Amino acid sequence: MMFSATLDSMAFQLDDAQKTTKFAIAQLDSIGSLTWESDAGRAFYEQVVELGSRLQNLNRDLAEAEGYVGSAMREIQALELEILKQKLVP
Amino acid sequence: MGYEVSYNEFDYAKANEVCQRVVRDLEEVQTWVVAAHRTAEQTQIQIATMAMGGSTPGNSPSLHSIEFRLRGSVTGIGLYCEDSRRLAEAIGQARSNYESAEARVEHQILATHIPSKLGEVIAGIRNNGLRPPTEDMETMLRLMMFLQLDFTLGWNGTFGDQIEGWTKLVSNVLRYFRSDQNREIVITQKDPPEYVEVDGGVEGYYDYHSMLEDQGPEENGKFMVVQRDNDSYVVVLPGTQIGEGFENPFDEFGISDAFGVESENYADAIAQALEDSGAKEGAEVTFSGYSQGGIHAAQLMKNSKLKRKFKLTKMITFGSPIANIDIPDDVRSLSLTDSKDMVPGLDGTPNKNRGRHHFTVNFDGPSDRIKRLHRDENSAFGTPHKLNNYGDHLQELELDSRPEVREQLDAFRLPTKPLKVQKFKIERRRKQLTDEQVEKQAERMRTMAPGH
Repeated sequence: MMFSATLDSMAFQLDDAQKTTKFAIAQLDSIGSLTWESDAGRAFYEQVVELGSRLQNLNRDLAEAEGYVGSAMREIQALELEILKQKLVP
Repeated sequence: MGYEVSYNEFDYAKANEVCQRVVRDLEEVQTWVVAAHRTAEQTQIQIATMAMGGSTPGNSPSLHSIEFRLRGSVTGIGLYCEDSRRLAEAIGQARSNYESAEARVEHQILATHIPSKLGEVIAGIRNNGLRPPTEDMETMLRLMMFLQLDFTLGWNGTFGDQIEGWTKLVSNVLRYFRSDQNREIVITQKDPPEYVEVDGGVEGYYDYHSMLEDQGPEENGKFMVVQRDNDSYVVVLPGTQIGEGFENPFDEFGISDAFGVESENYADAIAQALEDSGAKEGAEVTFSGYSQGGIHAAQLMKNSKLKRKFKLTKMITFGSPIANIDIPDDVRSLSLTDSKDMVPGLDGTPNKNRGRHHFTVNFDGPSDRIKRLHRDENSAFGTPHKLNNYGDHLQELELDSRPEVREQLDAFRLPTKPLKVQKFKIERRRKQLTDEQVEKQAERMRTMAPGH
């Protein structure tokens, strides 16, 4: 129980991180609508695309991590109860 | 420049801006992920400590998975931040390389064409009532840059940058020698508000400016605030006026204030006038400036004091040299120039379109009607710089059917109902010391060592 607030705030941080990463991905996508006629310009754009796909992977990892928060809360709660029980037994 | 390059300055600027924003976003993400990872680690330690001595193992497999995934993310995100920073630097460098190359080519072209350019300037002046048209004014200033002692050193900078640098220097030298060192611009008179109806088009801006121009010495130093609707206002700034004793902030030295200190000293008085007109914090403000007023308008669009209080959304200028002023991207601007008017060329750089929201329309000289009206004109800048010439151009603009022009006009339209307008007179006044400053001064006098 004493850890739920901590894990809640961690979930919010992960949620904010995902939203901002998604925003950054959308911004990088917008570079695709610009004109890149030179080789250097196209190479730059390729790197932008690569960065965009890495950020998508990052977002997937963050989403997975956030997905574990609920089960971590349950596990810790069960653990807390168990420890409490042990302490109460003379 | 007469040659093709695979470069689109707006796209490169946009890409640079995007990459810089992504760097900032990723730094924020990094802060959150590092904090979340630290929380996971510390929670693991606390659980283990709590379970110590008991028979239950103190761990949570799910928390371990979170910690493991975030550990990888923390490492990755640092690299992505670096990638993004490198991309921003690369595109920024490409922009600066292109601009330097462009500037050097411009200098070289002018250097090899000096005699013919001089001939063009002389012919231009002769055919324009002995006043240089905009382009020739720009050429003259560019030629002047060649007379600098650092003959080729400034070639990597644009002519605009060079002229801006010189203008700032001259303005600051002038300010240094002026007797108004300790003066500030304050409102000294508020006219009673009146209601004025305009016809709803952009010509309304001309109507408002007409209420400020050539109204006699009593009206000098006045600007106007128009209440457009409940929470949007228009600030109308006049052109250069005759000033006596440095009192009128719109005198010739107003130009040096505009270029030298980016009109910073006008901001407080304008904010005060807006508040007195009923503008609340966050109200939308449009600036409309003619000639010198246009330079102040462009400078004030990026003024941090005003931006903190109000939403500076639009700017319209008539015959103002504003090409070297960086107008923020979120501002919509419409700039009218006349190719026979020397004033917009006084910064050595043509006003040009800067992206979709910054629009310049250049007209090819005054109409016959305006020329007839000013047949005996002998003012310094001539008929092309007259306010009613720009009023005439606004009428012409209303007939322009190009979609991009229509979009701009729609954005700048004024309502047809009578609008509340109020004039404010501003003057340069000796700075008043605050009570605290007076007390400090007196304290200094009291503690002064006696003469030996």
